[in-house]
Amino acid sequence: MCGGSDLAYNLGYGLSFSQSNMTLVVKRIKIGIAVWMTAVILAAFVLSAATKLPILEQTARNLYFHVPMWFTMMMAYFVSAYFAVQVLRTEDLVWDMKVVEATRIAMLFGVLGMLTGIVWSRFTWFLGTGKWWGSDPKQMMAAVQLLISGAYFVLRSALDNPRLRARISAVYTLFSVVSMIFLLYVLPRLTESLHPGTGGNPAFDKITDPTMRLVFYPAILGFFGIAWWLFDQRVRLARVEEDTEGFYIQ
Amino acid sequence: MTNMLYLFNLLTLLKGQQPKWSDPNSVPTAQPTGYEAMMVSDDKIWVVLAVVLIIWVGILIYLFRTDQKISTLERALHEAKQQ
Repeated sequence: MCGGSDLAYNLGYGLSFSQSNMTLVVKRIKIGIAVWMTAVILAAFVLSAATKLPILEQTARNLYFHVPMWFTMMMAYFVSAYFAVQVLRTEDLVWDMKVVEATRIAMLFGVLGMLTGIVWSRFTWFLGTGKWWGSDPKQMMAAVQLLISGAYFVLRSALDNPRLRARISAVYTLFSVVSMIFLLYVLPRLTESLHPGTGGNPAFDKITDPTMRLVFYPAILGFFGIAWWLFDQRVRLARVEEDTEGFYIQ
Repeated sequence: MTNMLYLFNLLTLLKGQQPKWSDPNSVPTAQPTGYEAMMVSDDKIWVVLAVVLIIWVGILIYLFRTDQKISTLERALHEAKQQ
């Protein structure tokens, strides 16, 4: 390697040996997530499940896909709340960027959870009624939560000063994460719902047979991994954007 | 407090409209036709496929949007280099 390119390499993104070692580890984790998730999807269809129940039949397998969406959404919201606290503590705008990306991931998985739930209920509990929206309390409250979360981006677009925007939207994030707990875990339990643990329905641990846990918990981990992967790409992109800001005018 | 009570009343309005989780009597017995019949054939396994595809498409849309952002940055850097 000639001196010039060596210099360019060192100046480029300042990759020291230990950092590039770290990227290698992260890369391996991502390959691990890909293999893990492939195995989960395979197991979700191949392994035995509680498919003898009326109404549900094979759709019991949706437990591996619909439910982890909400777990992932919750996790992403909690992570965004952590970043929001860091914004308020340090006033570092890097954390603000992370709040935005974590909220985006949370909303992506929230919307996916909503859509998968709609399709699931359409061909099970609402079969023959032509209903796509069943006014299930949990479904309603999830929709409310997504609207509250969507308002986060509206709020941000209304503020021009980056520091003020970071602080105000961080406080709003904390509010929306607290509201999520009440909307999704307290209110639906006060009334009847199709979801476990409400209105005389059995709680989750009573309806799930042991083999299903074998796929369900790994599926949650796998979707956490996918969410982190999507998040990581955006964060790295934003870092490069920031690093090269001086090189061009946007 | 009255607001809370009002909200609780709203929730009780929804009560009774919900089918039971695994009670066959809460679901109409009419034979499904058209796309419904297709979706519920083979013990409803096609519903699971639909759910998996929705998630797959969602992840793809997110990937495409990340891709778009990368392209924008690439173009900007390329133009900056030209000047």
